[in-house]
Amino acid sequence: MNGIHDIGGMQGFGRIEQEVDEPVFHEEWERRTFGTMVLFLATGMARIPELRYSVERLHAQCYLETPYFRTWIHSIEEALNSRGFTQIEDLLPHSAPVGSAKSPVEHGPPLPRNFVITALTTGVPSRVESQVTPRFAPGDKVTAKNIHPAGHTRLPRYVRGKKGEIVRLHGSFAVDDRTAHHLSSDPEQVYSVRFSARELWGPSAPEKDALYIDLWESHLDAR
Amino acid sequence: MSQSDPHFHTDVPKDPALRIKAIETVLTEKGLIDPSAIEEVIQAYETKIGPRNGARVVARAWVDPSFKERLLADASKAIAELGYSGLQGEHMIAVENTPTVHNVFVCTLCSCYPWPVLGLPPKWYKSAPYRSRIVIEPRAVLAELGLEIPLETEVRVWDSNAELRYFVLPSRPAGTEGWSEEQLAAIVTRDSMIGTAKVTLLETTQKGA
Repeated sequence: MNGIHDIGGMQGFGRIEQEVDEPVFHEEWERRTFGTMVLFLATGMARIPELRYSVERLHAQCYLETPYFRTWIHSIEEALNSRGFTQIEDLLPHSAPVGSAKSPVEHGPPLPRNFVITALTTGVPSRVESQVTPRFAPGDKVTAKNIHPAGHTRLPRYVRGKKGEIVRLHGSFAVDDRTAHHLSSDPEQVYSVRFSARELWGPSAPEKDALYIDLWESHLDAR
Repeated sequence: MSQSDPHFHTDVPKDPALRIKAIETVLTEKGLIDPSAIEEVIQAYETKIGPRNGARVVARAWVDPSFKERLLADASKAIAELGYSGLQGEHMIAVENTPTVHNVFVCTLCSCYPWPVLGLPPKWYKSAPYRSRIVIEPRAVLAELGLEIPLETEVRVWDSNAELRYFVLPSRPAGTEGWSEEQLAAIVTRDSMIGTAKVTLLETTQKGA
């Protein structure tokens, strides 16, 4: 969707304010939100594209004004609510007593503490093996598709319809544009694509400068 | 405004501390998480996983040409040699600053960042001004942050919108010949590994250290 999150190339947001000696977290609730999010992701109930899409659907004004980690809370709430968990609203002190919470989805026992801590250092690799021959090779000329899907996409507006060149192949990955909507997808090759600054921003951009972005095969047309 | 959360921007249930506690309670009561692990996760990112890790990677690359070669060929694997790996660093790409190329990365669509080497991103990295401007006017942004890039140097902006996570191998400053790896690591700042600063000998306590 052409939402406020797709902000690359917009003008008018002013100066970049850097905080000297910035702490990792500014508030206790930010700490707890981060820790809870990592554990929530480790359950495998929801994947990151779905959570990103929740944040992208915030009202534009709300998106810009809401503290960053507060949007994380929102995304977890949406993921839980959409799976039939107790409405978080019902658990807040001002609320009426909890009525009829729907049954949650089935799940196994909680992940052992050590599993979660180990996952911090092992990570969750997302590159997958694929037998599909990549459509493009380094040096190939491509055009980013001019599409404006109503749902989630990792193809930002500022490269759509622009002419680029394949720089390298990153391997195959699930397609976020589909997994955000719980749609199955065959993995696709992801490419590093180079766009000249002039192609993106016009003749006043410095001649040598360039923008590199990683795009899925279905984001690209040959030219 | 999402349909399923009509209260989101009303002012009653705003308190994020209560909301995240409620989520923690639900997940715990449903047997999905062990809440005793939350604090351990937080502290890992407060004390262990941060830009000092990246600085050690950079220092190693500066003193060990074969490590640098491995880093530029397969960054995740090379970084793991120093014991750094994990969430949001599974598929890393290191890009090298040279006299002819200056690299800087961003995530225009959200806040993707290479956690194992840099930790969690600073606020400005996630802010609308940085995300919107760095792709369209990188030289103006860098100049505003105190970094003038000569016109003959190519500026490459990396938008990390897929599963790859970038980090910049900054140029080693002149005057550090013969320095130990530890001495070198001490002058490498977080911002130099994002690409919004250079490593210098002038301000070792500069912002973003």
